[in-house]
Amino acid sequence: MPGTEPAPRTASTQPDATGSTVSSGDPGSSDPGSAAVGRAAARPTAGPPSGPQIGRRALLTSGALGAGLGAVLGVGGTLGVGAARSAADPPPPGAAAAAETEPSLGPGGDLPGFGGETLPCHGAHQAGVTTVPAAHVHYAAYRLLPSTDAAALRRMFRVLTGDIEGLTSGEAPLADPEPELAARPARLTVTVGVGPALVDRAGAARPPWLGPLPSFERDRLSGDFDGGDLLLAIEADDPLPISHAARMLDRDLTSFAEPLWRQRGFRRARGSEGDGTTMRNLMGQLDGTVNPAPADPGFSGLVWLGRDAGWLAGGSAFVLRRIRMELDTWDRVDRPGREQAVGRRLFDGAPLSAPEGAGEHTPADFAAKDERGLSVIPVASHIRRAHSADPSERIVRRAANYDDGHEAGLLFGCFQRDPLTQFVPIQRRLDEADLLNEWVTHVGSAVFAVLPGFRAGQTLGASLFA
Amino acid sequence: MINVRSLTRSRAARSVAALSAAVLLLAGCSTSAPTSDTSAAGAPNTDFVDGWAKAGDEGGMTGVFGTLENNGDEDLVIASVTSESAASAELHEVTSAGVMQEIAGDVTVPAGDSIEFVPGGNHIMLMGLTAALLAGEEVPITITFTDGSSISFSVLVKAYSGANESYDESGEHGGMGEHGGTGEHSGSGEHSESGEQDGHAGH
Repeated sequence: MPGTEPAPRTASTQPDATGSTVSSGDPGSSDPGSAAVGRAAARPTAGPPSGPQIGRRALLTSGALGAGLGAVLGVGGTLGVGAARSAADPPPPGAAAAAETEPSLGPGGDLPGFGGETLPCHGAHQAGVTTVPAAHVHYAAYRLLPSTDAAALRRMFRVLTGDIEGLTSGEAPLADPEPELAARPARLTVTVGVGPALVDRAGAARPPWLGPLPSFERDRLSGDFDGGDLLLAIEADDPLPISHAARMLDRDLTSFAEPLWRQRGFRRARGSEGDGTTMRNLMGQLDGTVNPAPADPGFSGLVWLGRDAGWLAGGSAFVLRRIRMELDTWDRVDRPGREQAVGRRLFDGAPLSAPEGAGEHTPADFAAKDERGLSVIPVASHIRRAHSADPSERIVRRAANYDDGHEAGLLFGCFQRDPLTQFVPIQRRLDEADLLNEWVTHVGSAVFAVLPGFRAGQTLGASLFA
Repeated sequence: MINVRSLTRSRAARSVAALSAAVLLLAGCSTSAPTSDTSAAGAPNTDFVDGWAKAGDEGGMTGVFGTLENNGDEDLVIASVTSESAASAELHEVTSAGVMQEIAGDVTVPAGDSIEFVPGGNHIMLMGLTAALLAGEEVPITITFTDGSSISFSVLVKAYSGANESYDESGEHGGMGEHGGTGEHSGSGEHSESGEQDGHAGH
């Protein structure tokens, strides 16, 4: 999809951890239908069983491996699951997500199942940016009421802070009429961004990029999903806590703002695929193969604003584009045409220049020619047009599918330091020429400043008023 | 009478101390400077956790909710409740008939136990609010016990659509819902805070 291919990653820095290719099979299991049972049954032959091993075996069937294993071993949830497992044993789906979590503080938070997992909301950065993307996302944008001045905004952030702490911990916010719905957050995150009007009313300096993006020739913005003064990006692996959180926050924002738009997206259900598997979009493409990861060199410089950003130090810039897919006309395109449009094979996401079986993360060879002297990766293919030789011209994407029954597409979210120098040049090239453009249309566009993180005892957004 | 429940809590206590830190950050937008030093007030073994108040209009009344804990060895009997933000404050209960009334007789916080103030149940009632209580503000409360000790704390004000119990004698008081601030009703399409835009003074 647009903006997916800002720069190639070298093979040496990109291990194929997707589990999605034919070459990464599970050598320890010959029975695909009973992998967990097979692993548990085979383990005692590899060595004497230990306490944690027994616990782990039981937990494998309960699905609560991350939080549960941490509890069994008496360590926090940060222990790499792989460290306690055989190298030949790939972690069960969801282990990477679980590894970041702590048990819910709500009633029943320690019961089996990933519903009891929580992601800490406190830190130098807000959660929901680099945390493992959740299965479901809900974006809610608001417009401030005319009466909401700086003093009211301070009160609003005081309420928001407590709500976010209560919702993400499972403890439930103060005055929550349905605290039972908060008790199993399933890795709920609430990430808050602000628009230009809020920054102005707070009396803070507005960064040059905070406002509508420059117009693109092919944009067909409907006006229904554009801009906003305040954004809540709510993610979780279960839609129920999302609905509860969205309503709780909606109630508490009533005094300060009114709803402007909301968009709901989804990825694969929790545990349906191996960890790290690239998401497929509704056109069937692996979407987001090339995406900077937190462990990559230079990642922070791409995403997090530095001290020179003043009140936004530790924050980020978020662009959300609603990209409608024209699936009816896409249906008329056969697989060769689909692969030419993207520049990748549909089956495994490998670039068309790569040999069979080379895998999704093989770097694209844009110079490769076929026997007739034509580019193997077409000159107007999506990945060639999105590609930039400038390593600073990259974004960290966090996309989700949407399908509301009469329209389907992609909620293309991306984080960066400066959309004008990172997202815009990529989108400019795609807007000028991209074979995919025949089947995708940008119908919504919004830019928000993602607030810096906050710690216990601090108030989210406090730096706006410093 | 007041329900007593064990101090064994699965929830982490959102204590007065935590609130006081937030108050400092918000200094300048609270209606008054709350005092939160419970130990200096002479009741070092008490705590008020998960406290909050329903937003309300100037001159009106509203409820305060939370859990009052007595971690000491002696029972404590509440002598009075006061707030700089209200002309008066009382301890109220909601009868089985759904009628709200002042609690008659002593309210005791047993040693090692706690009492809860909740919407639809026993609560602290602030009457004659000196100014509108706006969502996100802190309202200061002092509870004094019969042994002379007291606990002072501040609670967060939140918009809330519930806690609308009414009095039996309608001529004496209005229900909380009538005085609770129109801005709290999210379903009406009104998004204004009554206290800021159309406060009803003089109830």
